[in-house]
Order: sequence, then C-alpha cells, then structure tokens
Amino acid sequence: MSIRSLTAAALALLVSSVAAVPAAAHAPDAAADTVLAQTFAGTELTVALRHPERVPGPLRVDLIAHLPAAAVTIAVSVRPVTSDPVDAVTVSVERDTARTYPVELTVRGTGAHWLELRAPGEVSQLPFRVLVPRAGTAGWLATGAFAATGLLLACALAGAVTGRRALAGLLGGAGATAFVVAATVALLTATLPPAAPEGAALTGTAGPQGRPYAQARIRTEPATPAVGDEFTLRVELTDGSTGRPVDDLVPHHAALAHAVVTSLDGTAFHHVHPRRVAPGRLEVRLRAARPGPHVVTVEVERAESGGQLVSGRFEVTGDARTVAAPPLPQPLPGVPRDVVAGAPVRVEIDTGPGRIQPWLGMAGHLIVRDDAGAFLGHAHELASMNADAAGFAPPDDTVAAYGPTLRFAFTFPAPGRYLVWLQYVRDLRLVTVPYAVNVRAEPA
Amino acid sequence: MRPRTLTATVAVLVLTLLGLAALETARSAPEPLRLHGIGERYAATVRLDRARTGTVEADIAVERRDGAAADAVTVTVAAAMPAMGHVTAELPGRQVGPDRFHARGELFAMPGAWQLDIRVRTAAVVDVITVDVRVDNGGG
Ligand SMILES: [Cu+2]
Repeated sequence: MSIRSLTAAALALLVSSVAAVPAAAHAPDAAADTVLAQTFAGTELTVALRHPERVPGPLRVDLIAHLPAAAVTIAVSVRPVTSDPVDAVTVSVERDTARTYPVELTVRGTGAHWLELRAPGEVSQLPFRVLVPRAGTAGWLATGAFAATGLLLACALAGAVTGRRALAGLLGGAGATAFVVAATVALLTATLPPAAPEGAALTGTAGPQGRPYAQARIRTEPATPAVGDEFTLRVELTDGSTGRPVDDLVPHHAALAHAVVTSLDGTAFHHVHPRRVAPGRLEVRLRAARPGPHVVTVEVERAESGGQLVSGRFEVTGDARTVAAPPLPQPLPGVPRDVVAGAPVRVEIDTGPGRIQPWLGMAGHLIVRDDAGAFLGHAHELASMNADAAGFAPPDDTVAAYGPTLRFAFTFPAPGRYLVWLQYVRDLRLVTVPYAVNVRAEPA
Repeated sequence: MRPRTLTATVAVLVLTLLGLAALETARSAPEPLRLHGIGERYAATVRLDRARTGTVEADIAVERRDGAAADAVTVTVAAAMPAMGHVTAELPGRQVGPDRFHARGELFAMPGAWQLDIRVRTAAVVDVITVDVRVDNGGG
C-alpha cells in the first residue's frame, strides 16, 4: 500500500466514522405526560405531569381546577416510592375559579414515584415513572469503537505523513477493524428494540390473559351516612389469586379509578375519581344528596390487563322531604320514539352555544344505568373518539375544541327503563344532564 | 495486507470479543442483591444472596422512619408475582441482631418480575414494605 493510498483510505474512514456516530436509541414514552383526574377536596382536578427528560430535573405539574371548585390549600410533593419526599410546594386553589395552577418540582432520580396531594383530612397518591433514555451497552460499545476508529486513524495519518509507514499500516489496520466492529454493532443495534429507558418498570409476564381480576370491598365511613352529610366512600381492592392488595392500577380513561355513585331511584348522581391513599385502598369524599339505597360502580385497570368493573351498595338514611327535589330526567333527545334493545342507537345532543373542552380525554360522556342498578355502561363522544383513534393527542383540558353538538352511539342490552347522564365541560365547568329512556324488546 | 497489519487486526478483534464476553458475564453473574423500601412506619433493607428460584437467604434490616428506637418487632418475608397471581408463604425472620433478621427458604417459583412483602409486626401495627425484585435464572 502506498503512502498516498493509505492516507486516502485513512481519511475516508475517519470521515465516515465521524458521520456514522450512532444517535442515542429512542426510548419509548420517556417524555410522555401522565394526565389523571382526581376528586380532591370537593373539586374535580385534572393533574397533568410533564415528565423531566433528565435527572435531576424539573417535573412540571398542572393542576386544572374544574367548577364547582372549593377553596383549599394543597401541599404538592414528590417522592420516590422508596423514600421520603424530595421536593414540595403549596398551591392555593380559589373558590369557584376555573383555572390552571402550574407548579414545578425537582426530581432527583429515575423510577417509580408518587406525586402526593395533601389537604386537611385528604391525601392522594398519584403514581408515575421518571424515565430517562439510555443508549445501552451496545450503544456505548458502538460509540467507543467509533471513537477508537477516529483516534487510531488520526494517528495512522500522522504516521503516514511523517513517513513511519510500518506504524501507519499497523494503526490503519487497527483503525479499520475498530470501524468494522463499530459499524457492525451500530447496524445490529438499529435492528434491536431500543434499550429500556432508565427507571422503566420490571416488565411482567402476564401474557395476553392479563393479571388476575380484582375484587372489591366497598364501604362508607360512617357506615350509613345521613342525607345532607359528608361521608367517605372507601374501595379496597384485592387480587383474586393472591388476596394481596391491588396496587398496580394504571391510568384508564385518564384516571386511576372512575366511580359512579347513584341513588337507586336515580335522583342522585356522582361521577368521581377516588384517591389512592394506601396499597389497594381508594377513597373519595361525597355529600349524600338523597336518602335511600345507593349503587357504586368502580372502573379500574391493572397493569398489563384490561379494564374491569367492581361494584357495591350502601344506604343513606334520612327523609326525602328534607332535601331539595331533584331535577326530573328529560327524554333522551335525538333518539327514535321506540328504542329497541340489542340494536345500536344514535344519540345526538345539542349542548347550546359555545365550544366544549375535553374531560378525561373526551368531548363528552354518556353514562347509562338500568332501573335496577345492575347494569352500568358508558359511551364516549364519537368525534373525539375518532381523533383519539387517529393518533392525535387529545388537547389539554383547557382547549375548547369540540361541540356544541355531541354525538354518541349506544346499544341498550335489554328492554326496560334506563337512566342516562350526559357529562361535558364548558368554561371548565362540569355539566351533568339527566335523561331517561324506555327501551322495548325487538319485535319477534 | 502485511503480516504486521494482519496481527494487529486479529489482536483488536480478539480483544473486542474478550471485552464483550466480560461484559456479558458481568451482567448475568448471580450476585447478592440489595433492595430498599419504605412502609407507613418502617423502612427495610433486604439483602438476598441471589434472586433465583430455589432456596434463598435473606438478610433483613428494619428501622423506624421517624428515627425513634425500634419497637419489639417480628419480621417475615413473602413473595408475590403480580403478573401471574403467584404468592409464596411467609418465611419467618430469625432475629440475629438489633433490628436485623435472617430468613431462609423458597421465595420465587419462576423467573420474572416479583415483589417481596416485608411484614413488620409490633404490638400496635402491621407495616408491609413492598419492594420489586427481578428474578433471573440467567444461563445457569
Ligand atoms: Cu371518570
């Protein structure tokens, strides 16, 4: 090999090695937001966590207060699951003021964390993971080998220029080998799945069947609340296979848990988002609006599993004559006079002037319960669902992006009378409209 | 290619392969595992001789999170695999020092993502400290 050709080869390799330094592997979802609804201190809050991309780094948290909102001072803190809080701030939520309260906290490490909200008598623990992308062993190896290529070839070049041909040849050969190693590793890495980001969960092996079902013990404190009083609804979830507390809930329709609490007669309705207060224990504070039997349905999703429903009942004591009369449910608009069981029906509701903001990632919800309180279903607004399916991230809760006409499709499973509640958000105020519909059997 | 160039090339290749092998060995070698977690009142540090199926030795140190002197406690350890719905029976911790316990027995039925439940019992409370542990039987 002549000096000139050696020099040319070394230069070519040097240039290509610089150009080919592999980009760090893309870590999945390392920077994705966690958005969770919480019923906290009497207010429907949306808690949006904007994850840090490095540690130590800033965790931005937006608390979006929906109306009606109670005045409350919330202590917001963050801690790894294995230690005490590492940062804390306080937020004063103003009474009946629809707005976003932004806070910034510092996280120091990766992995599983709790965002904790505290107010007098209430605590909420929201799970999230701090993930930081990492290149992995292969990435470091490729980077190292590319660096070695550069160094060796630069030395070879120097050797060639100063007339040390043997040394130049030796270094050139070594450099070429380093380049082959680097290129091979880089190419192989590109075809491998990216390294799990630092702080990722130990992935389980639940497989397609998912984790065991959860069972619930649903109680109130006090056991029989009196009408007009505040009480705590407590949901204790245990694993159907092990009997351990279920503490692996993941965001499902933008909350850890959705609870629908209705009086059996359908005159009281609460759709709330219980707080995680201890392993397997969820709580929410409610005010008993109507006396009589109440039905509770809670929707949750365990990690590596699908959604599931658990249910329970409780009794509110008191005299119906002492509380204000509830609004009478209206006929469900936009549906035919005859709704037939088993066939999907289209529901179209005009919500009046003004655009609508998303809540729980959707423009609107239709919550459906049968007369007996045994069946509970919900439908999502079609336009926002289409956007969701097309891969558009739902807009922030403050963006008035939808409506004013909301469209749903739903199949009533059996004949009978159904109670239907429409829920949507306008000007950050949660609006609930009760309807009723009679469903008849399909003609034989 | 000259003989010396060839020698250098082979040397670099061999060294690279040796390095890769060393990395891989270091990654998969069974080594003692130190796990830390907190419960409502207690913090626990568990040292496992290995996170594998079969008999495992666990050294458990507990302390009050508020820094107060520990109450008279009993400590047990049990394992669960949430993904599969597996749970293993509690192993009693034998007290080997102030706030230090030793347990020996089978904890993990199969490789995968497990959790250890360290149960600290005092006259007043039962505190459960749960820590994640990856059980990997590696090549052996
Ligand atoms: Cu909900």
